[in-house]
Amino acid sequence: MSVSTLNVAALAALERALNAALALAPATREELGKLRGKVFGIRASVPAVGVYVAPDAAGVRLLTHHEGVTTCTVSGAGSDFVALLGAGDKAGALVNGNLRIEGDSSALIALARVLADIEIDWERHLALVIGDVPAHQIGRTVRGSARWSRDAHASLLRHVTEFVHEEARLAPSRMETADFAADVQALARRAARLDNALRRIGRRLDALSARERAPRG
Amino acid sequence: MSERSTTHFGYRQVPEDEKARLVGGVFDSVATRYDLMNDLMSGGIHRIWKRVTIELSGVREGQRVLDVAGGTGDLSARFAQIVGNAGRVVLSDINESMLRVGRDKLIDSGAVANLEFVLADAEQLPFADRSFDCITIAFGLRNVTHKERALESMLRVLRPGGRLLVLEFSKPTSDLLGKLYDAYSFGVLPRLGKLVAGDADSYRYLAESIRMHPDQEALRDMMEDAGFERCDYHNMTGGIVAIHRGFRAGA
Repeated sequence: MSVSTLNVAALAALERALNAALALAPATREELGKLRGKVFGIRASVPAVGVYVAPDAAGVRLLTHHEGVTTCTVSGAGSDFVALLGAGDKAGALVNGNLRIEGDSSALIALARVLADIEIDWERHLALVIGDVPAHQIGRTVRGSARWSRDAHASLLRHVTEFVHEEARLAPSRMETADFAADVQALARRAARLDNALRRIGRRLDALSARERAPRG
Repeated sequence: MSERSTTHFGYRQVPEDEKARLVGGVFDSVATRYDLMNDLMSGGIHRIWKRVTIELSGVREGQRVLDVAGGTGDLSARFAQIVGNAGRVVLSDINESMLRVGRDKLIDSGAVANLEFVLADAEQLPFADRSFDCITIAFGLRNVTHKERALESMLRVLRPGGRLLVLEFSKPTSDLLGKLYDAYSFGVLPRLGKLVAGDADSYRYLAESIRMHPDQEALRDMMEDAGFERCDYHNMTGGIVAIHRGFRAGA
């Protein structure tokens, strides 16, 4: 049996990058520590790739081989894994997507949540380099800019929505759409009732015509 | 008149009791530049080979690991992280210079709580029977005078169900790769050794000793003869190195 040096090298590089990010995120690392001792298998069919994820004291280990007990194995096509990476709610996508899960899925969901929510404490690490006060000033400025950007984005979205619905009347509002959908559903229900009534009438007419054709005696 | 039995030292035949001293001389000469030379000679790939060895070891938290001929301690450092404070890692080497370099490196990196350093001959390991869950010997077995004795000694100190991993240079699986590898080993390697470690002879010995080492199948047979069970091997980088694995019966 031979081992692909390139695969192992790629995994080693990925593990290094992941652990470098985890080293800057103490809260995430602490959460990950709770999963220590568990091993998760990931198997993609197209392309055929297999990797084991083992949380440990240093962060995570990415392995090509594992011979012990696997806590949970998730398998599927490569495209399903790509869809999972792009999903906003990774835990939800993991459970409701096309991937097959075998073993302790609660531990797998916990791992997905921890890795999806890596929160890097930039200010703390910046303080080690440039000192507490400048790091705090930079942190406050960055947080302020982020908040302004978030508020501006929400405000812009609100105004554009108002313009499209109310001013330019380019698209119906949510309430109009909901009313229209309710009307369509009511119409569908009435049409179904009418259909039933017509069937009943049809059955009665058939019965009457059969009685008339029957020989009298 | 009795004739002294001989063994190979690279391509030379030397008296058996001389080989350990000659190998000791090689490693005394390269100890301080050993890590740098490994990186230069292999283009850093030796780290990948060691990584796979650790994966195949299956070592878990709380276990006891013996790193025979552990030299500058690459495997021991990683094992110490994996076994944690509940486990124990013993780094052993027959060469005092190599062991000192390894010990200093590991202490400087803060890996001290669960590590021991033991100057020991792989043929006569000074440990109690059945005392380790896993034993590794990376790029060390080919320098041992009596490989069979070393394998038997390692089997003795292994716990039932425990495993031995031998990471060692082996035979390339393709002729073309073999020719390129020969050209590199005998053309480039000694020059690189002279340039970086100031010692071409030691690196010529390295290339020769690799050629004299048993190939994949022969080493597996040797392990089985020594008493190991379920022996197999994994080729890496086209068979330039192989990881042999064997278990002690009675898990």
